[in-house]
Amino acid sequence: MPLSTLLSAAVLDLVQSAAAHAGRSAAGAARGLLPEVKAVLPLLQTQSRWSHLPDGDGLLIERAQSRDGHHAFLFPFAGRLVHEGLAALVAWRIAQRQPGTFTMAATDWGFELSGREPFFTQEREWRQVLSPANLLEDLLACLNGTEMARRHFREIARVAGLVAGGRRTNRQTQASAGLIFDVLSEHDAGNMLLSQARREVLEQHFEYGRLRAAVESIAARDIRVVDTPRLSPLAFPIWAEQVQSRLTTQGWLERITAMARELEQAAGDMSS
Amino acid sequence: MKAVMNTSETPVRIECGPGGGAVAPGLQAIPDLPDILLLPGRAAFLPASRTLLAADLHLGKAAAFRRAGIPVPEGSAQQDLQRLADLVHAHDVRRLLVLGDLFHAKSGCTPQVFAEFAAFRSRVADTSVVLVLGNHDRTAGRLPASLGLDACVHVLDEPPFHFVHEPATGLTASARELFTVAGHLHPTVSVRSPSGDRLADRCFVAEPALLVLPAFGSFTGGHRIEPVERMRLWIARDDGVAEVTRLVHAARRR
Repeated sequence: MPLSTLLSAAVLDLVQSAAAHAGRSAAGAARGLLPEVKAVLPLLQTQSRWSHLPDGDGLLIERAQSRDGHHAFLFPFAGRLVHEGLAALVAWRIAQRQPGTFTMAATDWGFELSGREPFFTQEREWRQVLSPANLLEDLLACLNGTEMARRHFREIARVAGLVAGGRRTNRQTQASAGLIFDVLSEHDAGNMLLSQARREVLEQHFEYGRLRAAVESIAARDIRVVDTPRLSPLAFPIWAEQVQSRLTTQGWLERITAMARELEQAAGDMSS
Repeated sequence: MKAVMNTSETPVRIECGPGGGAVAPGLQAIPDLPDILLLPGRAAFLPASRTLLAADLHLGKAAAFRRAGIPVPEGSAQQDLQRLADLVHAHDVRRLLVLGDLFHAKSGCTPQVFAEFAAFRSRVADTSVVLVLGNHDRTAGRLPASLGLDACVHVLDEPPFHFVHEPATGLTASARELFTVAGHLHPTVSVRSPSGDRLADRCFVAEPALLVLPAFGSFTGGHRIEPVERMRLWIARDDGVAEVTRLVHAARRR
């Protein structure tokens, strides 16, 4: 169940009410707060010390570095599905400037991009990759860079009878939905089932209407970029998300070469 | 990968080779020719006998699907045969050795599929074509003479090589001294990096006395290989081949 626009506004209000209390002494801070807010107050205080508390007027972006690479966390509070779409969009737009490979993770309150290179420090650069301009075109284009349509195709292929759904079939007519997706893309690019997969990802996964509303709202807000010494309390759970997707605009050999370099570096760090 | 009874330690030198496309990063110039050259396009080449090796084409698989009422487009088989003919011409191949599963199923062996293969055969008329039978070929029924296959065999021993479809079977006593080259497994490998990149693709897999080729056919599934000690792996693509042994083993140790 995604966080609705109303609910996310209410959550931000609660965070703000806590923020108003956070400056006071510990005993004073707890007074007059909902028990749930009281419980997370220490975390919110840490968040406010290392970074900022998010509010409805600005978009908070945190940059951090770990031994696995560079991370950027954005907190639009727009719901998980919208964040998944936004993450793919932003990663794709960054990777258009310079070929790169990113992993993305999303929760109801924000999303993470991680990659090998540091992310933007300037508000102006972030504003460009979060812009509502060319939104639909860019989303359709970035669908090809992710595996989202290919993954979504499984359901469609089953309904269309292209792959078996649990029922025993002849071994010689077994193929994975992914393989059929690839063969259709290569030899029957106009196939209606492929368009259906892309359309459904756009409508269901990206929730296009709400995604557009989210980027338009971001365009009207301040953007605040903060470097955090380590992952903040808001960032950590996103980083720990198990479900990640990937977007790349690099060729396979480039990626292998970069992976080899990374692993050699990691091995060097360990032995030194 | 299944256990192989092969005990040979024949030093067979495998390199991923020139001929367009990419080679492994950091690969040194090859002083003299290796015994096996891995080529872009998911095939291998034996320079000494000018033999081209390809496995698991599964021709007629799309046709078998359509016969079963599953609408899969035509085109992958023609394209695969075109790629194979291009490889034969590019490397001046004396003999093409197909390591099994040339055809997918009896229901897919339509007159059109056979005609396409015959057309391919006439395009490589100067090359002999030998099929080491695979499990799919054996159920495909009798292969007509019009295909122009020069020989169909179950195994082929040509020291130092032992050619067979399924790597774990058909090892005769003499073959244990030899280096096995096989197909059947449709190997794929997944490589990952600390920053979260992950890439899975078809691959060549080598053990001390065994090389398994990736499936040549594009409409074929894959089987993920779990790397073990002393295993070497190369990602195999239409446009290149690159060794990922160190990458796979480094990631495994993390």
